[in-house]
Amino acid sequence: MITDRNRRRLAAPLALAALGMLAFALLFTAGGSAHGQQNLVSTNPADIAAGQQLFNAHCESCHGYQGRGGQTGAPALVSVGAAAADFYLTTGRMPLNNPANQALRHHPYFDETQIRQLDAYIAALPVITGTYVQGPSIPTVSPLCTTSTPNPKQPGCVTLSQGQQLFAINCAQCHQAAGSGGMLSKGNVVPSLHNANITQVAEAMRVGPKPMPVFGPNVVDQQQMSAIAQYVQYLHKPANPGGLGISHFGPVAEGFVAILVGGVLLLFAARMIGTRG
Amino acid sequence: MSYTEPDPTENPRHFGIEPDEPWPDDVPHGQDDSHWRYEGDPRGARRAELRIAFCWSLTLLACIGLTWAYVDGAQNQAEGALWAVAFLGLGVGFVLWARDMLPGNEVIASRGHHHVCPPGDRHAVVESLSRGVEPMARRPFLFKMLGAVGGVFGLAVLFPLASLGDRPHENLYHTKWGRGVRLTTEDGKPIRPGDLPPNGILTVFPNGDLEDALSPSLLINIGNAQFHGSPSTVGWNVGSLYAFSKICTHAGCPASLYNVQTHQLICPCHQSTFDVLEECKPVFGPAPRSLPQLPLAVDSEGYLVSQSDYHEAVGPGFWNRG
Repeated sequence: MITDRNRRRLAAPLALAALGMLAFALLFTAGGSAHGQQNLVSTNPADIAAGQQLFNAHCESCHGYQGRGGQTGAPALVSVGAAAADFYLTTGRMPLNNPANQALRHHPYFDETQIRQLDAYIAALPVITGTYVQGPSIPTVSPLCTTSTPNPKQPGCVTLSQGQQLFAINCAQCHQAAGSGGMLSKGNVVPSLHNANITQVAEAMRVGPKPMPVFGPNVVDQQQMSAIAQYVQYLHKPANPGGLGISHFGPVAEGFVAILVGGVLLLFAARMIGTRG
Repeated sequence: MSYTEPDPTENPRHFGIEPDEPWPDDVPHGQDDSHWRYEGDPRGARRAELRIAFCWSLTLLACIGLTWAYVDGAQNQAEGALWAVAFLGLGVGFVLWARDMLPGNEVIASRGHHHVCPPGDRHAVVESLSRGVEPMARRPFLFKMLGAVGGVFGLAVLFPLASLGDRPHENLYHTKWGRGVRLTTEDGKPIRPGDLPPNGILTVFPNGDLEDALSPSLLINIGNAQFHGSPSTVGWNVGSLYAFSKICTHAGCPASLYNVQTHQLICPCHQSTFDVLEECKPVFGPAPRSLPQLPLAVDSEGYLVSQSDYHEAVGPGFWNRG
């Protein structure tokens, strides 16, 4: 077993050997997470090594040596799992200029290959550091049923109506019924979901990117998570029965339009009543 | 209408205009409020009367339709449309009445320096009113119709009182929680303490009572944070799991926007903010009381249960509870 003390003493010469063992060890650590998730995260030692280089250059100043946590209050990344790394990097939330700021959606700083390498490195951290506590891996999302009700010919598919119900009870309180986002205490912003792709939605549930709570597999299972993720994709361009969507911001925006349009009409009506022949 | 004749020498003013002063520019010259639109035209007056009657008939029919739509209960949109027709008919009828049947022009005139209308003005108002009612008084049909419209309208307004349901009696003080009632998810699954990861939240319901409006609660895993409870609530948690009523004590909205960094719950309706670590004490917004805490325990099969019902009434205040 590679312990912390050993690694410090023998650092460089053992690095390659350790990486070689990683690929093997990961098969066991990630093996239990089911649903074929591990194939989304590279276990190639070259990727892990490249990820480590990127990590040292861009992340270590806050997250510390091997992601063990830094002095800036940035969290340790040893056991956060590839889902967290992938979520924060593909949504451009990391790297963050100031650790005190809320991480908000941004253009990704790294390209796809770099993100894949960093994901691989973060996923390998439990083995590298010898903690062996693995966080959630990048989830896969079950497909949408081709019919509106669960389809027996498509085992494991999910429907939008399942997603809508689960979204309403788990997500809508903060992200708003149409996923348009909102606000939270202490100046925290709840992001709109209209730019979140299907993997990012699933990752966010599993990771709980602060200030968002975590929705683990025993609370929202694989099928339910998939249904929510699929429903959020539907919310990018929802149907608008009954007229204008008005950005799907709900009653405030609707009330404003009612005041602007209806109020002006009422003014004209009052003017007409006031005019006498 | 009667009015005791004031002493004309005391205040000779009429609508604030001194008899000897020149007529002000903003008051129509030679205004006379004793004439009405169809004064010398009985057929025109009859037509005007019928127009008003038509508007109010629309209101009558819409109110009858409303009763039907309410009892039928299937068509919310139809109810809305019928309300619109009812109010529009009533309003347009009144506007036509004012235009065609009531005499006089609008006159804007200075009130002078008096805070109370001088007797001359009051006299003029009463006189003007009695002259105004005269053309209407010759049309008892319209008055009767207005009475009928008022009656049916009142009925249509009274009907939805039935929707208020039974009187609440004692059940505002009680929820479906109790000793050994399992916490379940929205699809009825019982919950083990290990199911909720740190910083996780879950809306929970009493086993078998998903529909009870007062019972929904929020199960929160506060992780490593330190909970500051009062001595009376010691032992109401299971590890780092705490459960609070999901119903805001201000207006009854679901207060479930949980910020895991500040451990605060926010209500989306009016931004009431509750500090979970301080027993959900309100720290911002209009909520008057803490969210009640549900005492938790684990049963013999390892599932989360409530120790008892809430120890206080959940949700917003009501008549004998501030």
